[in-house]
Amino acid sequence: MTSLRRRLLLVIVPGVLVAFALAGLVLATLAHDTLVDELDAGLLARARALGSLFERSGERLEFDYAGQVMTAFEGGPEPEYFEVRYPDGRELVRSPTLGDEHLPDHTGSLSAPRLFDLTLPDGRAGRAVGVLVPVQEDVEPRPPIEYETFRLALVVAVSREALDARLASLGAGLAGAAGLAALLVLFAVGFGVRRALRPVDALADRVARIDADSLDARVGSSDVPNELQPVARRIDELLERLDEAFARQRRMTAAMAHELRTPLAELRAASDVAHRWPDDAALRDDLLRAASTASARLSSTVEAVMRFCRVDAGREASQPRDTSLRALVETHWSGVARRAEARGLRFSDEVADDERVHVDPELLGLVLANLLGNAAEFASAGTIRVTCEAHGPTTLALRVANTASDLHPSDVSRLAEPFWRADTARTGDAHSGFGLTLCNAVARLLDAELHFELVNGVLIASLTGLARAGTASSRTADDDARTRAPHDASATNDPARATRDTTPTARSPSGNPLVDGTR
Amino acid sequence: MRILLVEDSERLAHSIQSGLRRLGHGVDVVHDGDRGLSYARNNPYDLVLLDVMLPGRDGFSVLRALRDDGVDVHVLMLTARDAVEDRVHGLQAGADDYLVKPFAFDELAARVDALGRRVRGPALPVVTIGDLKIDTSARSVTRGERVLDLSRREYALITYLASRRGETASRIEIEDQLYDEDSLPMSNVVASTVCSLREKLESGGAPRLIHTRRGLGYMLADSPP
Repeated sequence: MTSLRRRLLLVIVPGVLVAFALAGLVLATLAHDTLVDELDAGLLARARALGSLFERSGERLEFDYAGQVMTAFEGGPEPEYFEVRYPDGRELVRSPTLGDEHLPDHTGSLSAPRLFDLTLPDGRAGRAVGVLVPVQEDVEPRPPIEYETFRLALVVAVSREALDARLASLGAGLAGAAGLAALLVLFAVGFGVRRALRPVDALADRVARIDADSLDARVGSSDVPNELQPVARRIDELLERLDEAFARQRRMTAAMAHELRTPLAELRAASDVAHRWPDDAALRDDLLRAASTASARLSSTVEAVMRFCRVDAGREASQPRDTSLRALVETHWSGVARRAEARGLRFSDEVADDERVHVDPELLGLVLANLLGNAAEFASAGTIRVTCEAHGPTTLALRVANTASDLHPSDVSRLAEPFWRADTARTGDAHSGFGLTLCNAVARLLDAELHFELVNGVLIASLTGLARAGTASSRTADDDARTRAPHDASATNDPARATRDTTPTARSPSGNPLVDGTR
Repeated sequence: MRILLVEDSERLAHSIQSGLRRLGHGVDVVHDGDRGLSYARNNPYDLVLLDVMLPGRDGFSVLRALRDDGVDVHVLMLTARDAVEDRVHGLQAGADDYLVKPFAFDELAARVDALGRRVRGPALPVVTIGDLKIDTSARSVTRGERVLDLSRREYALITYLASRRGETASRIEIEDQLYDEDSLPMSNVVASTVCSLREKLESGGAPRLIHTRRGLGYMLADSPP
């Protein structure tokens, strides 16, 4: 693709040159016509003058020509010619310069004289006018000219060499001016285009300087021309999103490095030190316990990541069945109740006794255990409330609300980011920061949606779109097996899918071995 | 050497502290940045092992605060962050070395020794005083043909005195080098260690090498001052 500058030059320069050429042509034509008209006017004046020298008195025709006054008809360096004929074509008189030659017998009226080019008897290019001139009656008062009936055919010819020389000179001048104008146009257009495209170049420079290390830079629109402002704004929006994505990626990479490297470092240090002093039994036992705890932590993190990958890739099947929501909430609350009580938190389960949902109870349990575990661990004070309400004709919304005075509003959008923790130092083993990431993926598998909001210091986790039991949306087990396990080879004709691993994930009897918190 | 370890992982801190103590270093451990800064400001450590991600102040902030206060203690940063910019950031903030987790304990010990040599000046791998030879790379001590079986505290004491050969080391200085805050040394613990070390050095009637300068401290030399 050519440059904008080249494109503009390719359009503007030929356009301007053609315009100049047309203007020059019009100018040359006008000049030509003007000069020829001047010559023709002179010829006609000569013809009128010669015609006025004829006078008729009865049968007598007089011609008051004086050669010493009209010397050009007598000869000289620039001879002129005339010839007068009777209307029937007979010659009446001619100039001495014609000698034995004749001028063409082409005539017109005084109002429409016949003007034409010819070769003069002396060989030069000439121009002539032929008119029928009325001959004046020598009577008083003179009759109006329209009543004159006797006319003579008069042809006057002069050289047009001077005219041709002037036309040639004018043409050369115009051509030179056109060439010079073309050069000026080229320079001016080039300069103008370059100047006009400076903002584009500046914008391109600014964009070109932005790389992965300077995504916080912005193009800005204050000094950008109006036409480019939408482009600059859109680039800045994209940079903003890219910067956020990179920042999110960096945060996740750093957090993941910490979550994986720290237990590895604990394992390595414990084993290295134990190996270096093998005879110190107390030290060895101490370090083996530390290594065991570190490996359990590492195993938990890796298991959570692996399960997230399976869920996110659609390789884990949902097995929905009618389930009591209240019973599920109470089951998973019992696992964290002691921790909550120890922190002085109260619990309010406001889900109706008969509220039933048609979901995979283990998957929903995993989400509940994470949400309730987080609430028990991080709620600042007061009551943890679980509520349920209709969310559409066939679906429910389950909400877990707790106070969260340590949470900043900007944290809410990051809650489900992989490995995000409010504790930036990432101290402690209880959480890796992957629980809500996993919950988010599991919610999608349940055809539900998990989102968070912070209202007046209360964090509300909402799981919306849960299919209510016994409604049109709660499908049969066969329907669910087909629709909720999209990669199950038995539910598709895709032979490629038939080779995929569809083994259901192993689950502990208690439900959620991967319960983890994010904050 | 007297070392401060600032590490929020209690298990990792425990392993490192156990290993370094067995190498004869006095190691104090704290688990957050604020206490780390306070300890480093108020105690004469030879080396600070500083984690980056810490509760309270992070490691970079602790390091900057120390340098701003003019504390020129050697700092070895320990972190899970391995990006080049993180290393550069740490070194530019005033760290002397940077070690990425997970690391081999032997590598940490070697770097601690290397930084220790910067504290005490370049040390020969083998120090000879009379017929006493201390091989710091093999961590062995021989007197004549006899290999001495020293406890880690005795080894730490003799290498410290050897690093200051010809000088008198006070009891306080020896305590600072050999004991951390958890050891809570009593007033006679240094004298006790000196006594047991002398017994091993002088067994078989060998001449005295550790000389007492009453009221001043102890000196390691092949002849009395």
